Amino acid sequence: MNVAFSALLVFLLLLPGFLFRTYFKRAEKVVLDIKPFGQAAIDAFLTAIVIDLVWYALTHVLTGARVDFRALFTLIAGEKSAELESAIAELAADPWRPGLFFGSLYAFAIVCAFGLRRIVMRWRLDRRGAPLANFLRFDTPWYYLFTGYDRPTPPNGVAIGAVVSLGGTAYLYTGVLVEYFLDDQGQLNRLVLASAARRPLSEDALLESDALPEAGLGLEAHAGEGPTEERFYPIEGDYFVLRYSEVLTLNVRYLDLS
Amino acid sequence: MKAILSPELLQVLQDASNMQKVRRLLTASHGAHPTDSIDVTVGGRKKRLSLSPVAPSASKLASRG
Repeated sequence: MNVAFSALLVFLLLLPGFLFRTYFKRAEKVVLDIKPFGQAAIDAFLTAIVIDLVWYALTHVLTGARVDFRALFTLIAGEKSAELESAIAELAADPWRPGLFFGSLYAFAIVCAFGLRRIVMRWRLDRRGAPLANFLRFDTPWYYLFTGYDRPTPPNGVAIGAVVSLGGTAYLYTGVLVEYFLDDQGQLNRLVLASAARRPLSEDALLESDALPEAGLGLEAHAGEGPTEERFYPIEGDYFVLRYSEVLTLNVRYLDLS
Repeated sequence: MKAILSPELLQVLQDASNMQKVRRLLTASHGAHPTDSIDVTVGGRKKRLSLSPVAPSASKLASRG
């Protein structure tokens, strides 16, 4: 028996776990799953065992068919023996049945993934504070932050306040977040803002000594140049793109329409 | 992926008469006298756009006595 066949068989048995993981993940604009391969493989392995066993039990209940575990393990072991010859002969005589089993198993894994994801999102089981949130929460921290997912009611939008250093001068940018982009590492790459405006922080000459000089976090303007909004420069254009690599601090406030 | 902006807020931002108000809301929220809500028009209906409440800063608490 060729070693590659055993490996292929093991792969076929573990594939449902990887399929489940792939389709369970919520789709982002870029890949956010930055888990190390070892951890992803363990997750997929454990998931595959559960899905394989559940599908085996279901097919047995629905069709009465049984998986010949003896033949399966003989094929995986690949040791030359009369049993192996017999298992190969059985497989060659009726390749459609195991093919159908594996095909339906993969379809079952994908349906389970979509189904569970729908349940998690429908009932917000991954919301912070939910009993199973630690297990069901996706690796999408920016998504949770920008959608206000953990709030009791979802917001209508997000207002951004960002301090950006340009040529040694710090500017405060504000705007409504329209879209965001992540890089391959899952880090924030660009923010797309509407109704953007900016002002240099250097104009805040008279800050209260006890005020926290950070964007939107208790920032108080006392420059004596009129209302703060008048010292902002509106940024002309429909959208303003802010590169996150240039952002020093980021303040998030949610917008609600009532 | 869930949209960041709700369709209603998107409608607000696409209306030129609202854009200036929204900008004022955002810029004033960083000032000494923050405005936390404004009236906007969505599809001919008046609605109130509010920023989520934040804990008052030490200076604000002091000014309130």
